[in-house]
Amino acid sequence: MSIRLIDVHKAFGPKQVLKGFSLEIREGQTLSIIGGSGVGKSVALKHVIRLLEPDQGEIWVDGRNVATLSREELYELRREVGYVFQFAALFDSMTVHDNVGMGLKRIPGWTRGRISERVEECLHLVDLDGYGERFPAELSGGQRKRAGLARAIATAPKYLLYDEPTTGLDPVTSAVINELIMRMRRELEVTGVVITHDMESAFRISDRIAMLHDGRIRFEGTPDQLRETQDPVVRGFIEGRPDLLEVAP
Amino acid sequence: MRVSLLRPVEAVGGAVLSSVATVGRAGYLAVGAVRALRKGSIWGPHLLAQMAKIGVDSVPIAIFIALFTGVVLALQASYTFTGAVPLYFVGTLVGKTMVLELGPVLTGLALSGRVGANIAAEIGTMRVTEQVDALETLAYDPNAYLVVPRVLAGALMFPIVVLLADAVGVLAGWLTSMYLLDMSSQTFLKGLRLFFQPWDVWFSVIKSVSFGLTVTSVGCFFGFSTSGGAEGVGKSTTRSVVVSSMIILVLDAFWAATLLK
Amino acid sequence: MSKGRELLVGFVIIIAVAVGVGGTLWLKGAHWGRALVPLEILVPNVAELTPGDAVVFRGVRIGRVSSIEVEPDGQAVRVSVNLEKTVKLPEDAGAVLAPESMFGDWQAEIVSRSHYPEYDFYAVPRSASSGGVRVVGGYTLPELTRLTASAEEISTNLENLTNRLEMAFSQKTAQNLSQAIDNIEAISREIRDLVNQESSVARNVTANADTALTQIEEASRVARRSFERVDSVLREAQLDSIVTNVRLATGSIRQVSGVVSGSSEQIQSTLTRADSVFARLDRITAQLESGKGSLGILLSDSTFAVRAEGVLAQLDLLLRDLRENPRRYVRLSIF
Ligand SMILES: Nc1ncnc2c1ncn2[C@@H]1O[C@H](COP(=O)(O)OP(=O)(O)OP(=O)(O)O)[C@@H](O)[C@H]1O
Ligand SMILES: [Mg+2]
Repeated sequence: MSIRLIDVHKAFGPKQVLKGFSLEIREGQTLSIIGGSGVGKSVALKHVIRLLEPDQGEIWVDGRNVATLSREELYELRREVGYVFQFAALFDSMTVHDNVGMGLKRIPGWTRGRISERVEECLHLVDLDGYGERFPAELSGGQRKRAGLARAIATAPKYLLYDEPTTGLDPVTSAVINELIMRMRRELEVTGVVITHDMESAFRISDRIAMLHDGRIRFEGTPDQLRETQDPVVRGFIEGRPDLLEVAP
Repeated sequence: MRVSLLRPVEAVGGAVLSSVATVGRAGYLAVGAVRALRKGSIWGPHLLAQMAKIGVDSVPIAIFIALFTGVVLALQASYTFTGAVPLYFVGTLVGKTMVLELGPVLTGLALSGRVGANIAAEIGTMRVTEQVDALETLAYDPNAYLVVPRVLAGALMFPIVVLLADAVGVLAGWLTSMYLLDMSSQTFLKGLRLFFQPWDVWFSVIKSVSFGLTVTSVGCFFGFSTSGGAEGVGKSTTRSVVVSSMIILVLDAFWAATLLK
Repeated sequence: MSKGRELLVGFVIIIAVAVGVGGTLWLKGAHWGRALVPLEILVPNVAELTPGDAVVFRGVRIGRVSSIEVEPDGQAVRVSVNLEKTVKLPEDAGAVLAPESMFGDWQAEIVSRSHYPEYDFYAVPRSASSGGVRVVGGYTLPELTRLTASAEEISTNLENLTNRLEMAFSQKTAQNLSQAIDNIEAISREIRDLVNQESSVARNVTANADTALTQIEEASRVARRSFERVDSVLREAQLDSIVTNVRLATGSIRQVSGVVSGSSEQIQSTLTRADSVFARLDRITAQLESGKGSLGILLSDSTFAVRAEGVLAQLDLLLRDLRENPRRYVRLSIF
C-alpha cells in the first residue's frame, strides 16, 4: 500500500525537470514535499497516477507498476486516489455540489440522495456550507481550492495527493485544512503526499518530509531530522536564505 | 556552411515528422473515442444536452443562411436564364443546388465556426486549467465524457439541421420566384420536380453526417491538443475552424466524385 | 438538462425528419390512401424507361412504373405499372414507351393500338397474364440519340458518295437527285409549319429553326439550279436506292435530327456540310457537261443503301411522332 517512485526522469522539450527522482511514501504515512517554485513538485506528483508518463524510471503504487496498467486498471487505481490540484481544476460548467459529487457518480450503489448527503458532509469539512449551488466562477481562489479538496476526499480514497492545499488561505482556514489532512490520516489511514511551501504546516502534519532540488530528492527524513540537518541547501530553503542556496555545491 | 546547407533538409524533416505526429495523435484520439463508445454510462447522460447545444441551437443560424441562399439562387438563376432557358429551370436550379450542395456545405461551414470553435475552446480551456486531468483523476475517460457525446451529437444533429436548411432554402427560392420574379407557383414546382430524386435528399444527409463528424472531432482534437493558456485556446479555436472548413470542402468533392456518378 | 430542452430536441428532430420524408414523397408525387390498379406491359426492349417513370393516358399522368423485369424466357420485358386513377382503358390498349422530354426521362403512354397501325406492338401471348392483372403489348420508340448517330454516319457516307460522283455520274442519277431536292424543300416546309405551330411554346427555338430553314431553302435553291443544268444533259432512270439515300440524308435526316436535337450549332454545321455537298454537285455538273465520268462505283455500294433504309424507316416513325407530340421534342431545343 505504499507509493514508490524509482529513478524518474522527465523532460519537457529541452528542459530536464526530473533527473532521477526517487521517493517512497510508506503506507498510512503523510509525506510532504518541499522545494523551490518550478523545481518540478507538481510534475512529480502527476506521475503517481500517470497524468504524466516518465521518460525513464518506474512508479509503483500498491504493488502495481503504473506504467504497465491497462486503461481500465488505471481507472481502477485512480478511484483509490484523491488528487487536489494546485489550481483546484474545478469543472466550471457545474455547480460546486456537482463537482464534489462527480467521483461518487462513478461508483455503483451511490444513489442521488446518498451522494447529496456525502457532498454536504464534505463541503462542511472544508468549511463551505451553503456554497453547493454556486458555480466555480462565483468563488474566491481559496474557496475554490477548498472545493477541490472536498472533491478529492469525497470518495474516501486510500491515497490522497495534495498539491499545495493551503497556499493562499488565511491562517485560520489553513489550520482547518491541516487538521483535515491529519484527520484523514488518523481516521481513514490515508497515505498522503502533500506539496507545500508552508513550512509550519509541513512540520505539523508530516510523518516525513522530502525536499526536491535540481530534479532529485535532496533530503528525506522526519521533521526532527529536517530541523537538524546541516545541508546548506536545505537549511537555506527552510530558513529562507538565498545566500546559502547559491554557495551550495 | 555545412549547417546552413542542411537547414532546409532539417526543415523538411521537421515538418514531415510533426505532421506525422499530428496524424498519429488524431488516430490515437479516434481509437480512444471508438473504444469509449462502450462506456455508455459516462456519455449517455450528456448526449441529449450536446444534441441541444450542437443541433437545436444551430438551427437559427442555419435557417438564416439558407433563407438568403435560396433567395439569391432564385434571383441569379432567373437573371441567367431569362431569354435563353425556360424559367421553370429556376425551380430545378434552386432545388438541386440547395439540396445537393449549398444546404450541406454552407451549413457545415457555418457550424464549423459555431460548433467546432465552441468545442475547441471549451475543451482547450478545460485542458489548460487541468480540468481534463481532473476528469482522469475521477476515473472519467475524457474520450467518453467529452468526445463521444459531442461527436455523436454532431453526426446525429447535423443532418437534422441541414434538412431544415434545405427545406427553408427551397422554400425561400419558391417564394422569391413567386413574389419577386413573377413566376407562378406551378412553374417553380414543375422545375423543382423535373429532376428531383429522393437520392438527392439522402446525399444531403450523408454529406451532413460526415460534416458533423468532421466538425466535432476536429474541434475535440484541437481542444485536446491545446497548451499554453488563453493564447493556446485561441490558437486551437482558429485552427479547428480552418482545418474543419478545409476538410469539409475536400469531403464535399470526395462525395460528389464517389456518390454522384 | 431541463425537460424543456429535451422537448425542444425531440421537436426539432421530428420536424426535420417530417420535412425530409414528407418533402421527398411530395416532390416525387407519391400517393397514399388511394387504391392502385396494377397493369403490366410486355415489350421487347424498354430503352431508358426506369421504375418511377410516369404512365400517361391521353396526355394525363395516371400512374407510374413500379418495376421492370426481363421475362424468364428472355423473350420480352415485363413492365409493372400502378395506375393511381381508375380509368377505363381502351379495349385494344397498347403502351408506347418514349421519352417524356429530352432530359432522359421516359414515360409509358397508354394508347389505342388502332390509332398507331404503324407501330409494331408486342404480341402478348395468352399465357402471359397471371392473377387477373391486365397485360398489354408495348412498343418502344426508336431512340433519338441512336438515330442521330446513324444519320451522322449516313451523311458521312454521302459525302464519300458525292466524292465518287465526281468520277461516276449518269443522267438518271441527276434526275433522281433533282427529285431529292424537291423533297428537301418539302421537308423544310414541313418543319417550318411545325415550328410555326410551336412558336408560342418556344420562341427561341423558332428563331434558330427559322434561320436554319431559310438556309436549307437557300441551299436547295442553289442545288436546284445545278440540277436544272444536269437535267438538260442526262435523262436516264436508275439508282433508286441511292437516290433515296441522297434524298433523305442530305435533306431530312440531318435537318430533322438537327432540329430535333435542337442545337443551333448543330444545324449550322449540317448546313455548312450540305452546302459543300451541293457545291461539289455543282462542280460535277460542270464536269458532266464536258462528258466525263462513269456510274459503276456508285452502284456497287449497296450495303450502305440497306443500312440507310432501316434508319429511314425509323426516321419516318419518329417524324410522325414529332408531328403528333411536338412538345416532347421542341422542349429540348432550348439547349
Ligand atoms: N506541461 C508542461 N509543458 C512544459 N513544461 C512544463 C509542463 N509542466 C511543467 N513544466 C515545467 O516543469 C517545471 C516544473 O513545474 P512544476 O509545476 O512541477 O513546478 P512546481 O515545483 O510545482 O512549482 P510551484 O511550486 O510553483 O507549483 C517548470 O519549469 C515548468 O515550466
Ligand atoms: Mg506546482
